[in-house]
Amino acid sequence: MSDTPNQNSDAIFTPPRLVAVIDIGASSLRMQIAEINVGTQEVRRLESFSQAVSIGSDSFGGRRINKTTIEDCIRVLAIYRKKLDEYGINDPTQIRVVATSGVREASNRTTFIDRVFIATGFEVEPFDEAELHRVTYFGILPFMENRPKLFADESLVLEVGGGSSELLMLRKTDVEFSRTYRLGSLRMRHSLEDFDGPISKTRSLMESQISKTITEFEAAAKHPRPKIQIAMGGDVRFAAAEITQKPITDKLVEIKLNDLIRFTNRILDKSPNQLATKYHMSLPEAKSLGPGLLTQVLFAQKLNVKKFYVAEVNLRDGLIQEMSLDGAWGESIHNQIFRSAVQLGRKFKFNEAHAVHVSQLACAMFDDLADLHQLSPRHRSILELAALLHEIGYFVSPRSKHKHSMYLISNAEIFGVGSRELNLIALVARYHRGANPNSRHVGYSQLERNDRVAVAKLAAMLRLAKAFDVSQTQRVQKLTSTMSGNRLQFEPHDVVDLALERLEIGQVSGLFEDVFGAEVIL
Amino acid sequence: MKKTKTTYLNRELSWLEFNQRVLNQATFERHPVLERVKFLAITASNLDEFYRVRVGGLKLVSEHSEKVDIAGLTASDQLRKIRTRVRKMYADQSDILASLEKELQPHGIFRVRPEDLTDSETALLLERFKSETVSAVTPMAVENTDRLSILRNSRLAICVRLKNDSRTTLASASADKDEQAKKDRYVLLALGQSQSRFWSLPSDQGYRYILIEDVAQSFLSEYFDQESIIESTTLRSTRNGDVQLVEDGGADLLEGMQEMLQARETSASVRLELSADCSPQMRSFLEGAIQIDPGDVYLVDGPMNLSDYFGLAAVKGFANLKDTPWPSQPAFQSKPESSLFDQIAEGDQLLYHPYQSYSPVVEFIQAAASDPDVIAIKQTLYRTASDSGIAEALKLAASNGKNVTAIVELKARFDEARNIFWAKELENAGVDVIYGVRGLKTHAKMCLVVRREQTGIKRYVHFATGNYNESTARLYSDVSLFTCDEQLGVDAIHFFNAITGLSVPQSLGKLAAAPINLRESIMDLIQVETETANSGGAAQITAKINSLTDKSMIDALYEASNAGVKIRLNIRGICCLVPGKKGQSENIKVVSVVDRLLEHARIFRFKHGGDDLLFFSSADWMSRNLDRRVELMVPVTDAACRSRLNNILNCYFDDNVAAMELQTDGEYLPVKKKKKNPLRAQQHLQNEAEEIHAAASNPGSTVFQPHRKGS
Repeated sequence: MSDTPNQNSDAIFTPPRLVAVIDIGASSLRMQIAEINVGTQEVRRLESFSQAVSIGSDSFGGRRINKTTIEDCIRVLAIYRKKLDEYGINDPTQIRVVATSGVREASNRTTFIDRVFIATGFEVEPFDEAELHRVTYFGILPFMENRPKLFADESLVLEVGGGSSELLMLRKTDVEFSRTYRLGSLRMRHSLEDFDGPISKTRSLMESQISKTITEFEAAAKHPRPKIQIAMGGDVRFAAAEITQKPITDKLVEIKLNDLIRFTNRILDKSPNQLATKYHMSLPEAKSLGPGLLTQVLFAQKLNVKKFYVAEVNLRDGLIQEMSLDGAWGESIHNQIFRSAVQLGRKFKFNEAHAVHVSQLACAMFDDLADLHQLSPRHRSILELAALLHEIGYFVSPRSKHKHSMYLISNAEIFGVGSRELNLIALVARYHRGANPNSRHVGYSQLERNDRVAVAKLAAMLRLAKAFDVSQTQRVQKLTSTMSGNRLQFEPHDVVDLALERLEIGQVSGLFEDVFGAEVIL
Repeated sequence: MKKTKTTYLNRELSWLEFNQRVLNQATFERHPVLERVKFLAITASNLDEFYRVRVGGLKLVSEHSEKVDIAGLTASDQLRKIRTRVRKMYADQSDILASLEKELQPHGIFRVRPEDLTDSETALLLERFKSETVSAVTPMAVENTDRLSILRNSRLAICVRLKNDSRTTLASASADKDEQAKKDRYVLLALGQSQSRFWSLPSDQGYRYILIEDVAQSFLSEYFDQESIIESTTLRSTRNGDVQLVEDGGADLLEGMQEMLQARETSASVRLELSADCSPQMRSFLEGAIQIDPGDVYLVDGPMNLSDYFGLAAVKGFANLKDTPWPSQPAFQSKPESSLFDQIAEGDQLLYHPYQSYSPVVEFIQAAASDPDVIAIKQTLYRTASDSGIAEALKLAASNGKNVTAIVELKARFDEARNIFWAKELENAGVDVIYGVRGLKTHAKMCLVVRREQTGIKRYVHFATGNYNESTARLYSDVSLFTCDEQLGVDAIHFFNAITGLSVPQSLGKLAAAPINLRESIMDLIQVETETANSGGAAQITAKINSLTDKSMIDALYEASNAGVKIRLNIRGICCLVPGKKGQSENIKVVSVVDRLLEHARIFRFKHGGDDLLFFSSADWMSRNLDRRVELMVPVTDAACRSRLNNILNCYFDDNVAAMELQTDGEYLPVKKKKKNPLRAQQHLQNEAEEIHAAASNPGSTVFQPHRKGS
């Protein structure tokens, strides 16, 4: 197979990067193959696949993914692998395989992930809620940019999946509230099957489950009053296409709530088998259609939204968008994450000016020393957030505050930050003082080597950055770090007396010198 | 308001009228005489298939169903009407053959009868008969109870009645004449398929031939020199071809198909043709032996198995008795300065075969096979040619390391054997072969080429109405579209992934596919016209299809007509719709064009409030196409392609030479010549293709292409 694109000598042009995302959901295994324009980061969807699997009904019911389901998944993944080979997509950096609630909730998820790896070579990342929020936000970002008027007030973003529903409350473009509820279309269908009640009761049972969630949500989000609802998910997209009689493509489509209610009523009158035949859909899709639509409708009614929109965005598109940024989060996402972290800091009454300043110094140092540390843009964000939150443990006690910071961070919710990254942030914050990272330390010792090295590098930089604001007066406004030979040279701007900082640097530079094998000079 | 009863035409009788229209061609002076012989052969071959499939199917149904069709007829009613109609057709065929034979004589083509043979000719024939026939054809004695399995489907045979010899029977002395007749021996000679029907005789000029059955009957004594021959007759039995594979999922499809093919050769007989001069004794014996209903016996006055006359029509020489060739015009070729792919990238290319050459289609696949940037080829094959350049190109592509997937439809009726052959060949070459889709026949015509270019992945798609078959592409008129439209590419790949089971069907942006949304899409398009007309707007439906039998489609058209939609249909074959009936279809006009080439393209145009949506499709408006086959409908949006396709569609309605119009009573009459100038659509299309080519190759209109070193 020809791997090299034709060499056209007169075009100095980097061919687009081919990537693929596989999403192991509750009722289906989907794959999107796309091309990313290296210059503009524009994404072009090439081919999408979907195969029905019953992970959700296994894990929501019996808590375990059945052996036959695992083998089904492997069969489908093997087909996908073949397809990827066709495009020559075989480098792990070109492929992301994520698993959502169906796998996450199964007690044998590790067996599942290992079996998939052995049989297909795919490394499955269990994708957690915070990451889903981030990807969802990323997905609707273009709409907010293109139609700011529409998002001028409060908006509710609701995606109903097979296992859970994801909710974002936005004020303008800012995330006010984000949470995932265990209210999924397939999960609902499953609990009804368990209950085995009369068909006439099905709808009212679903309604009471959904209403319970809405009440919880209203209390947690402090009684929001969204003007518009942005609905996401396969069910509502299907409904919109049926109602408007054309496929939904790359757009935000407004549909009248009454039309959706009528359509939902029609769907709920039919059995999944009837729906599967009528609409040529798989049985799991047919099962989830009714509950999925009912959830959207009830939210819109209870929250009294004025306008209802359906967005053609899905997890896979969001992930591909992220891949186009090469591991960075992108400015808007980054801002939301930073905002959320600052809110967390405020909750623990941190010294905001100091924390923000240290995090800026740390980032400047990270950028200056890129050649030395060779870390990714994602690590920069980890350092930034760790620097921002490194002292929140003080809220608990000044003694061992770094350890308090660690467990507070690792148990906190920061918008868009998944548990794996949260753990790294917590560890970097922990090592801002005290003992150097050590393989006997709980938390650190469980990391893989790459992560261990990254934590040590980031902690070393954090210690130095913090040393420059030891006075907590932000007097070192700007800092340049340069490597010359084996020496790290700092050049603070516009500061005359650096005695305090010099002393502090002397005390904390040990980790840096151990990790990078370089001498620190001020 | 009083509602008039909605009426429909019976599909089988409508088909027979189509065959009659073909048979009429054999009488039209505008066709040269050998072409007329060919039309006669076509009607015979058509009729064979009709018996095998349609009558075969009806016979199976008639035994245990009283269900009526849309025209209100039960299967038994239909069989009765078919018999009556076909007897008339047999008489017409015999008359036409006789007059064609007469007409051929002045041109030197003679059928010689045994009684006219000279001694030397007799000697020559006898020698050939001994060496070719006596050695190859073994006479088989037939007992009354035999199923006559040696009588293979549709093969010509001779049945000989021999006087029973006392040496071999213990006949009682008191036996009467009838008893005696019963005890006559019957022997069957099945004339082999490998033997030519026309045996040529020496001739100074022209062509003199004798039919094999005449030869055989003259030399029967070669077989039975010890016995006395009472009589002999030619016969031919047609077996039920409606033996279909039951796809039970477990069994290997390929193996199942092979067994089914064998079963078809020996299935029950649905028609027996007998020479008109056959005696009642012989007839009743054969009816019993073959176990056929006397109603299904047809007495033929003259030669039977007229499909063999394709051979006579193709006799060497006699160019003046054949059509002047319509050379396929070169179009859209690879040029030294730009490849086919580059040209498609510049704009969609629409071709109309065979007026325009089919070779770009083959070239497209060949180019893909050896292009280093092509990564994958996806191809559907429904009826493949026996020496298929397309299949060869796919093999080459696979051996060049491309990912080649081919859906080879094993269930394409009567082409199964060839498709099995190609499926195996392709598989051996490394092509990923899919034997169609369970429960459906893959009838869509599509070839998708995925190419990795500097700017990214690009898909080139060829959509068509005709099979990927270079042989039939010379005789069938079909649309081809080459495009690299982004949405059509995505749709095509998603459609292909769905039918190959790689993914559940996903919503298509531009294409409509059966059995997913093709029916709904067409119904919606009709509905829009109806609604437009209801609200006083201009509404129009223009379609060219091969058959219209689907009831809900017809009802939608009736409804549209009642709303005031102007509907023009050009339907080559079966049409169950009754046009021009007050309160039902007074706005519908149905025209059929049967001429030199077989009309095969399906083209639809809907006014759609002025959008004039234009499509072509692999599907007819028949229930089987819309529900039980995998089909595609492709929109044509490129301005130049639209204008060409519009012209093509329109010209079929301007035809006033070959076109016949369907009347409310089901009869077809020549269209009224309103215009002064006669217009024959196929001739017009040929002229147009020649003009297009001339314009494209006119040196004045192109840039000079100097020969350079290395180019």
